[in-house]
Amino acid sequence: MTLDSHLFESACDRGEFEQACRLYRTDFLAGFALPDCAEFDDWAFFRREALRGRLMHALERLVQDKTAAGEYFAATAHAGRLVELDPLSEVYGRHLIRSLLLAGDRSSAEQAAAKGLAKANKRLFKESVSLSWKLYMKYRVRYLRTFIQRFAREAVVSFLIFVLLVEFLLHQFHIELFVSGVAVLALAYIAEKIVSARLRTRRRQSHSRALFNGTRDLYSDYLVFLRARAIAQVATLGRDRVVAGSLSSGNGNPDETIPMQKS
Amino acid sequence: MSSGDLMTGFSFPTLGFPEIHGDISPIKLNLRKGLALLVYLAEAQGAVARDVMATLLWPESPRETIRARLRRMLHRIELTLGQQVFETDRSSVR
Repeated sequence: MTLDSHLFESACDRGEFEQACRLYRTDFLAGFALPDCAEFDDWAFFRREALRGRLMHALERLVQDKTAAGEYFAATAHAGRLVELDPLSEVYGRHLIRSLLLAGDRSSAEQAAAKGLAKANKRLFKESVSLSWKLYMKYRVRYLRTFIQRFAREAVVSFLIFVLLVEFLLHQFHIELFVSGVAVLALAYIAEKIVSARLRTRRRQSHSRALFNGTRDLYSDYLVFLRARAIAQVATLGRDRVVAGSLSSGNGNPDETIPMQKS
Repeated sequence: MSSGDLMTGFSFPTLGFPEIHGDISPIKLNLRKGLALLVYLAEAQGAVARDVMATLLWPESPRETIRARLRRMLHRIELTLGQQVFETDRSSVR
């Protein structure tokens, strides 16, 4: 059985990037997940990211090739797809704006620059809110759980002691009651120890998993933040230069500019 | 013999939601884990240890239980597809 993902990779290996980009309709296993199988989801996630990476590389090559061949409209289409895949990438934003300018579509280039800035701001706001909420929930849940566990343990022991005291005061001292009370306390203590030991094991497992996911999320949020900040700066710069009539080619040399084509 | 030789007359796009297409129409496989199993095996392009496959799909259950579940799953997939699609032995499946 031949999979389209394998066909896509073969096309990339052969250097047939147009064919590869046609084959890549959407992400690997898009919309498919097994919530109770974390390992499978992790495998699918890394496979998806690998394929997306190859697609981005193929699109970058296509943008370069088409621009070099003077096919600016085709380059614009591929650059647009790159921006859709990674809206916060300053490089892809610049590819799109450059291609649009070279194709003589100045108004779309201005729109792309403004859109990039708006998207970056929106995403940055959304991500920062989401990150703050995640951190808040993480700590709140942890402290709440500890508090409930402690309270429950203290409440059970206090209640038993209270019952024993009442028995002692109201009905005088009975050795049977005292012994049974102590036995109940001892049993409760042992049960609590067993339960908490089990909880600790489970918590350790879930904690290591949460730590991995949390680190991954935080890392990705941090990257998003950096990209958002970069694209916001570049988009502002790009917009100013578009308005001024020229745009930096983005290779780090501000003196090198692409002259605007008159539409 | 490769899985491609066994599984004839089907296409199985994985870019997007995975679906099995027969010669005429799509085949509805109402088993999410069955689809996951097919995707994983097809991507592996070779034999995968039964234990690896079973642990991937049923991570919480005991070993004997998940091996039995895997056997049943393979059987149900072949029933749905109407032909033999897996090559199996005691320790691996492809």
